[in-house]
Amino acid sequence: MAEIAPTPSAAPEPNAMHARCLLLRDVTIAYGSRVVLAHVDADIPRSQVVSIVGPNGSGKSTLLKAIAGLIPLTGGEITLFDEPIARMRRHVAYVPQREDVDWSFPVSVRDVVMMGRYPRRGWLRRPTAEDAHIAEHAMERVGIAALARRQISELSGGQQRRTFIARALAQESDVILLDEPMTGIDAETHDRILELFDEWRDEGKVVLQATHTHIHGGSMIVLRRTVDPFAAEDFAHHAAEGGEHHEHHH
Amino acid sequence: MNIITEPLSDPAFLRALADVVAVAIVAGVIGTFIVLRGIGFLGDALAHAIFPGVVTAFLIGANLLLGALVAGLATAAIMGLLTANERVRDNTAIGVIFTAAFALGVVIITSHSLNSDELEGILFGDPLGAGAWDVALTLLIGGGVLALIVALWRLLVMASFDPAGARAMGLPVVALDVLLLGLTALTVVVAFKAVGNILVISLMITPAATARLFTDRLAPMAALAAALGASAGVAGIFIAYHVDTPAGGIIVLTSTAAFFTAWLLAPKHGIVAQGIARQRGTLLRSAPEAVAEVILASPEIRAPHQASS
Repeated sequence: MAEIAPTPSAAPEPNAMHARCLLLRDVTIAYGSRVVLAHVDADIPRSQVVSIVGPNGSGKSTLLKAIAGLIPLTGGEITLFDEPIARMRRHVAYVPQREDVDWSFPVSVRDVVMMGRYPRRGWLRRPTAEDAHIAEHAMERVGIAALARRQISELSGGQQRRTFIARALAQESDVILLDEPMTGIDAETHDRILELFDEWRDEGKVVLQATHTHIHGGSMIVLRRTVDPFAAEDFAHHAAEGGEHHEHHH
Repeated sequence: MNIITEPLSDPAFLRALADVVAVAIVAGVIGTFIVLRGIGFLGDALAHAIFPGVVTAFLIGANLLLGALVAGLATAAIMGLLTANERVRDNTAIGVIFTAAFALGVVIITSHSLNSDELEGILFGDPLGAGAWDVALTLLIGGGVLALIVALWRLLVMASFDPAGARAMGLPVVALDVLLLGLTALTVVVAFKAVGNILVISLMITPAATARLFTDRLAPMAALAAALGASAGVAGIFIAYHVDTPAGGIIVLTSTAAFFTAWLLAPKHGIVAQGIARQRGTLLRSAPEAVAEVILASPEIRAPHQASS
């Protein structure tokens, strides 16, 4: 199988690495009157793997969901290529947390991966041979092509995660969001995901994962509890250059 | 043979047959999504909510289907508004609104003494009393509902299976949910003459739940649900034709009998098959995902059964 080229973006052509890609400005999220995240600022260029780390309940998953457009912002804004992210949904792939998916639902691996093609193709269009080919390639890339006809309920945790990552690949998006991608999987899948992080970085994508285990050498957004509310710090540049694991500063 | 052929020469029976089969097919297909989404309670409640609309339509001499439609849509809209408040959960709103609607229907009925035959028809259906107009409307609306489900099939699957992922991709999941509820309401309305207001949900849920026990694939599940519902419908009206009982009740009981039979005897997911599989230990995956390897780091640490020796 040929290498796939970095995904061309439909947005105004970004100027190589310096283009403004994913920008979070003063992002604040509240459920009712309870503020769960406040004043998150991050300016994330292309070719980054960013780990969103922090203690339980610090809002890792919430921040990721906000970027995915699943939770409305109480304040601030999120833009992708200078467009409000709500208008850029097609360019964002989201791999949900294990608990958010109905694994008993009667769909096959191929069905799930093909779902990644719908937004690109147009919701009501029938998938084409090209879509099938891209889905096939995505499955090969994560090593589940042989399982294509299996029902997802029959898969192991690692195979299920790979299926969803294949769906994200099939989306050919610029931004890939993963909620706790490393939980509940086998060592082989874990290693493959780490390799994919590198491949995605080389393809110019932005990868954000909510995680307990920071990827060594990658960038971090560290969420930490303050008295009230939670605040965030962006460690992106430090960590990317130095490759050092920063515990949070005071 | 006469038992079979005699009713078939009766136009009223043929109309009933067409009506019930059409309703069962639509209900089976939409029921597949209701069962997989786990929103059977919502579907049932929706059916009850339609009740006052029908009763009112009946009293003022309007078309029953129209009354049901207005009530169904109005209730769905109120539901949507209520649940916008985070403190009001879906099931709570359902419990409040839909039972209130049903109570309203009961009050309307008792304050205008309807005769018991009419009441029975509304509550339990009267397929053998279906006129040509009823059947035509069923075919028209039912056909429309079915066509829409087929056209949006992939999107409904996506929104049902992984709503978060679908929303993140920009799929209008909420709109699809509302549409699914709207189609459910339409199906309830269409099923009115066949099985009546109280029993309609059974025609949606029971065949789909039965089919789920037989297959792990979605399209076969929907097809099987439609076939099971249609079979129960046909059996039901044959029996009702000969024995003077409301057809709706017989249809639902037939369908329920099929469900329990499947629950017991379905090849892979039935209780008996699972019991046998458990006996043979074949429920375990053939390839274990992990095996325990115990490495004792020090001779001081012993496995528990060694400790006492």
